[in-house]
Amino acid sequence: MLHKQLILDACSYLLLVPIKLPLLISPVLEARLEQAGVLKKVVDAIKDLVQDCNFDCNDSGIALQAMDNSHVALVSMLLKSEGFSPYRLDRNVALGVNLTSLTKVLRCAQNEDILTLKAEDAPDTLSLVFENAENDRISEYEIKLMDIDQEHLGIPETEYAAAISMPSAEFQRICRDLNQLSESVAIEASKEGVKFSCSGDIGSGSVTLRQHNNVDRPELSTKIELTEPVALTFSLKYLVNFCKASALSSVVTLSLSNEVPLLVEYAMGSGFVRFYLAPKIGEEE
Amino acid sequence: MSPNKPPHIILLPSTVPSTDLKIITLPHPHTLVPTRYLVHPTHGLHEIIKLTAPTSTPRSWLLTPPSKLSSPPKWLRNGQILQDGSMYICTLMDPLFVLLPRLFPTGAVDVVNMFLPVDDLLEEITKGEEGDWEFVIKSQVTERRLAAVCESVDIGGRKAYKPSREKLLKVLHGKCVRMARGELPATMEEEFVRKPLARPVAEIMAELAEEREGARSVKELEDNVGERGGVDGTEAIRMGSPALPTPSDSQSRQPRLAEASLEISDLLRIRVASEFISNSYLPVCLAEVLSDCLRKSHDFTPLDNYLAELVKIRQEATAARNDYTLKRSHSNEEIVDRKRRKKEVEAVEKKKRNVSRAAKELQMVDKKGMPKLTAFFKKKAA
Repeated sequence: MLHKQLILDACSYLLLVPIKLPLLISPVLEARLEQAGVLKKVVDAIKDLVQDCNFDCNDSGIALQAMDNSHVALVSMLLKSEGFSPYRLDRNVALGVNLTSLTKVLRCAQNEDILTLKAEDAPDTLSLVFENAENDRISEYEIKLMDIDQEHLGIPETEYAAAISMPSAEFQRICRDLNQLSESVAIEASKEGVKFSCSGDIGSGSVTLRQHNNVDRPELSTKIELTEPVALTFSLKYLVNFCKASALSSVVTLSLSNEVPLLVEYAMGSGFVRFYLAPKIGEEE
Repeated sequence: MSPNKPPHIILLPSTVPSTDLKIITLPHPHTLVPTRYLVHPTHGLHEIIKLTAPTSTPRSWLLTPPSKLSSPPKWLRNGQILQDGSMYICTLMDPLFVLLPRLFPTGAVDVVNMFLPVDDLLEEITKGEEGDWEFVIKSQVTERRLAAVCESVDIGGRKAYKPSREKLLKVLHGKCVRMARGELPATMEEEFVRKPLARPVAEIMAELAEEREGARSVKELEDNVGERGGVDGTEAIRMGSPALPTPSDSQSRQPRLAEASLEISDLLRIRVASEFISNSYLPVCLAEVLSDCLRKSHDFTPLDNYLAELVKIRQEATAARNDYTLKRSHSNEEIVDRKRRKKEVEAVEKKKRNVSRAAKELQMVDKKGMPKLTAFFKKKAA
């Protein structure tokens, strides 16, 4: 009897082993995004500013902070863990990714696909799974990761002298239009409104937005919160580049203070993309 | 020494006492540029050579008072650091050289063509010239050296001198030969005698390879003998004989160009010595005369022939370097190293190619007046 019991035990044990094995190599990170389009847009917004960067995965979500090559602009991105369902993370990991490669892989996903990010402990690769519910298609891709030595900057909470929120499409149009005339734009915020002006070889131009409230469609309103008037000059090429994030949100917030980098924020339902740009100082013309 | 002027490091010959030294300015015999010389009343003229560290490896001086010396010089105090790492070296110099441009100026006509006492002669040639000549004139060495290049006559117990080109050439010729005797100073010997006369490495390597080849063929022959010896010894030797180096083979193994003979290197040394003296101490017109004189006294043809032959061989060696066999002879490490470097270059290029147009445009933005973000945001501790 005893013998039989032992043998049975051994059998059940043997049976257990193959079941446990997949658990041992289960990923450290598994994050499922309902719409692949969100990540596609985020990466598209960043990839021209930064080539290689770390996606830092921790409990709060997947974050990214990187400066452009010239160190005059900085992008800070957060996809909150609430935006994923589920978001499972055993240990904090940094995924060093080449954004050009990531763009290539994300092009293989449709906006409505369900996207799952997976990475193992001390990963060499990041795997992306796209599921299309409509035609039951599952695509799996892996991209190689790299070690990126990145320094993180501490960005202090700042009380800005002016915070302007406006339709992101409007901001994009202004930047593109003025970019044709000049390299840089002066942004002046006062109680009356905000004025974008530039002057170049062929002439000069300016666009003024007054504060107004659109009751039916609040995303089309322009709001100005002002503690003191501000006037700063910025590189238009960089602003045009930031505007690539317009697809992320219909509203953009510009925060300005004298002699401090401009903050351009695109808020998403569960996260944000923030751009910081150094002002042009001491070049009064 | 004034406290705010940093001292200079000067190396003096140990025979020269450090008192009574004077630094004077005289025109340089070759360039006629005013140059500083060190002069001592009895020990004579010294040239000052400045040694400077190359800019790639900057150096400075750390001066500390010698521990034994109870009272270090006042200016040194507890020690000093000199930013300028150069050193001045004083070496004895024949005062004759500085006088030569005056004694034998350009053109055939000499300034002085009559016998004059030393003082008058010196005054005559230094008249109206810039420079601190009085220190040279006062030196006792000068008269002795002057006598060597002048004809002299006795006039009432006093000697009178007249510059003589013949005597001058004899003196200069003597200097060249003396310098060339034995070996030149080590670095000069290496750079100007050994290197120009060295046979190209490829040639030597080819010889070595041939020797090895020869040794192998002999070994093969021995093996053959060993194998077949039991059957028929004579046949084995006949079979193996084609592998024997034939007399014509061994002839070809003779180097095409023998090592430079002693005569050739001696000739080259004399040439180098004369060029050195001409370029450092002689006015151009005298340098020409000296080289003519040397050509008359020495036959340089063997040297010229040898050098011409070397040039030919080197050209052939360069051409042969593209040969496959030579490529193979590179060491393994070198190949690995080259491959790695190639890979790195490719990686960088690939990265550059992968940058998008928009990113490139951003790189071209005029960032004048835009401070870096690190000026606003502080780095977070990792």
